[in-house]
Amino acid sequence: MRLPGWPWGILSLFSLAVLVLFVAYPMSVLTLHSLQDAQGHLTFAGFATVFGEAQYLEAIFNTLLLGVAVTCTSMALGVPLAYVIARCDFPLKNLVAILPLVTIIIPEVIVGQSWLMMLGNNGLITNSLREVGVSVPSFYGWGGMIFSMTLIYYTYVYLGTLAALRGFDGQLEEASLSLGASPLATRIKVLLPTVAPAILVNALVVFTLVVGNFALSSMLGGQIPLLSVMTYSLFVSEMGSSPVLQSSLSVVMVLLVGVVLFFQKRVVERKMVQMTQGRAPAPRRAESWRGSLLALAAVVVVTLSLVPLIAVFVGAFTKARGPVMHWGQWSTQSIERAFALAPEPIINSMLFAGSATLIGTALALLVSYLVVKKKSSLSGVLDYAVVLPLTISGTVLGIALVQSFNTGALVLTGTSSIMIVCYVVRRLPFGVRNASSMLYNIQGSIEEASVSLGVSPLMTFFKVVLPVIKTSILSAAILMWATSISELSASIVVYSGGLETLPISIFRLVDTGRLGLASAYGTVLVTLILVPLALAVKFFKINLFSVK
Amino acid sequence: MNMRFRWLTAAALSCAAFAVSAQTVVLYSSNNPEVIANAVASAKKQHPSLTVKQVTGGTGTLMKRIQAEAANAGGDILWSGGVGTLAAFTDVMESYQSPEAKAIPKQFQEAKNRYIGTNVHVMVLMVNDKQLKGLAAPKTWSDLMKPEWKGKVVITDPSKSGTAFIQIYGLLKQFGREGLEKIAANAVVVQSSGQVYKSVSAGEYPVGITIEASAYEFVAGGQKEIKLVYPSEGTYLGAEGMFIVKGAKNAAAAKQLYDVLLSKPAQELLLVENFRRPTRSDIAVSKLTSMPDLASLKVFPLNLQVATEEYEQLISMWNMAVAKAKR
Repeated sequence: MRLPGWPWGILSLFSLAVLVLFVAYPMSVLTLHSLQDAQGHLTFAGFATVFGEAQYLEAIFNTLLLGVAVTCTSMALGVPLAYVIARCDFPLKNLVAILPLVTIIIPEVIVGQSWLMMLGNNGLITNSLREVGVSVPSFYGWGGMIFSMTLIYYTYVYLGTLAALRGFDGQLEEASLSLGASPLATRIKVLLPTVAPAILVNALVVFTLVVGNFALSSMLGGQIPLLSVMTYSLFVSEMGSSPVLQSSLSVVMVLLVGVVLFFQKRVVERKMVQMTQGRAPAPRRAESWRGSLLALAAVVVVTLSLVPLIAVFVGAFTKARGPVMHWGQWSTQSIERAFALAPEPIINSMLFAGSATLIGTALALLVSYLVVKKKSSLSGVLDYAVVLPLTISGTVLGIALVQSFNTGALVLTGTSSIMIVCYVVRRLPFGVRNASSMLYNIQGSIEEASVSLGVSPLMTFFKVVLPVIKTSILSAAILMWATSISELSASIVVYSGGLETLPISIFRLVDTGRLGLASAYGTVLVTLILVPLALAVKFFKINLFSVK
Repeated sequence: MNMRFRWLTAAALSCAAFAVSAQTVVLYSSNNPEVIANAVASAKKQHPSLTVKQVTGGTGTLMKRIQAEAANAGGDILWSGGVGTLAAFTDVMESYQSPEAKAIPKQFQEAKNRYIGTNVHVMVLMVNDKQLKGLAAPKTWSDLMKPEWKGKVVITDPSKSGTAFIQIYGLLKQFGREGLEKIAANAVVVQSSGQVYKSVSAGEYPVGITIEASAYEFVAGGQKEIKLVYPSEGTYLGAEGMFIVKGAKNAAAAKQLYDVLLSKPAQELLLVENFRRPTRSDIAVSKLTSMPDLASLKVFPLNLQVATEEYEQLISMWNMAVAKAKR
């Protein structure tokens, strides 16, 4: 006889143990610390400070305001773009439709840095405009943050809306029109209610991303206090002393995001409309001037969101002497310096992201296989546990990990493993979501056939299931690679000597005004993301974003 | 899972490799990456087998970290922090008499050799010519107290930066509370020292009070409208120093790096490349750069150790002056 519960019960326990150790345990340590003073007594002083002092209340208010503002602007950009792409036809449409996806994989540090090089106080565009006598308002603050975040996060709204629009049954519209409703009334009364939940679900995702955003908030926020930046600087200044305040602020952030995600899961997602006989109306060629204008607007938006990618390449090959950029003069000096002077961040990034990709993809596959195919009470718990990291912003995760693994039985701070843990935990929910959606497409009967022919369950998984989803796994791995190599907010909290990665280096270089070298590292980072992606698309014919 | 196992083995092996190499030193540094890179290059040149691992962060952060790690030191050497700050942390320092210290003037040495000055910051006015808009460039501190400079002088909050603290302390000692209030009335106060030189370079403000090394980078980088003014009434000096961490795990390697950072080649390299004014008396600054020799500058002397003791007092006095100016 075999070991009871082998293999799936044991594997479920193992996965659960991993999540408990690296997610649940750190979060409980964090919560405990928020309620404990230096002597270990129960205290509410941390929360009293957070909700009593003007600066923290202001940070909470500003964070919510920024979240709402960016969510609105992202909707204002993403929904019309999706509509134009779904319903109109114009030259280069396929390219315009796919390009917004690139914004998701450009690291945020690079987006922030590039906009600063263009529109910052000493930016290329700012200076050129100043030359001709136009004074530009400062990019630091609300304007810069809303602008740059919108140009990244609209993609989420765009993708969700596009999917909903493509699944919409055009006959409903035709029915409405033939019953005498005007086209506008039809859109508002028939189309909008069916697509609205999909828009809202993604809008809420945008909101949580903005609340947790660290890179752009701290690079462009200027003098505006925000939760993520404040939590980070509290962590930095509270190191070694009682961590009550940083923990309290972290808990507040988790609750904030948790409430929104709960609302999204419980209320909005249930209102999603599934059309069984969806027959989306065919796109019409934009012929009138209005159509062309819409198409033009779409092209402008998409181009604008790709400016950072271009700027970082230009910056890397522009001559820089110390902090001064000599635009128009070219040099490979910055690139050479990046490789010769400090190749460590490049090596670290590849090592950590590579490990995280292997471990994360394997773990995501295991968890989703257990959840989708081997339903049990344990895998039910797993299903819930795996979405937990979504409520934890990077900064908070970093603080929780440092507090949990700095001393005690398992010391991880100062080792590469803590960086890899950061990457894996942050990306796991997305990995599991991707893997689950591919596993749903495999019928259980195939496996049953294999098992009934005498092949063990584990071998069946490797011989039958794995080959079927091979390319999907590859695309999931590439997404994991791209997103973890760009990770900043958690890793900048946990990193220590010798563990500096590319995003951390870029962030620090921008802070000291070294835009040339920062661009050089940025170019390396973007290359490390785009090359594997391009190779995979070319040689394995993967459809990278079909699983999103 | 095979890959994962292989990776773990590789990780274990590389850890082991680190453990056998005794020539590793962990440097805690608040300096920017380019400065550190030059220091590391200097160390490599003098001791090819020395590997420098770096942990970077603000001086305050690193000092707190060293205190927190007192029982189990994670770093071996800290470079650099203002000597006023260092004076408050002598209990985490290991004494070391470096052979290189002979060339360092007594004023930059500590009595018990617990820390030593590596470079000197000179406080300057960083002026952006293009933004003066008809005003004559200021020549000295009291020029900035005149009403026409209102909103045109950018300075760092002294509670946020060690060098800004010295600037404000100097102004108080030289011009009294009244002078400080006049400066506060004209000043735009920012929260990090980097913002001062970045915003003057960007033309947001015509004048900033900052350190020579940071301002000179823009001159050396080729931004023609940037000028440095050494106040004729006397400037203030802020020496920065380093120390070996008490209980350092790699004490021998730490001493090697300590000697390197005091050595003539390293201090010359950091002067020429990063404009760090050396503490060594045998380096001619004006020959190697277009910065003036320290001897040619008028200096208003400050006792930085006393300044640190008066820290709280000064900060509250400054905050009051700023609040008064707002009214």
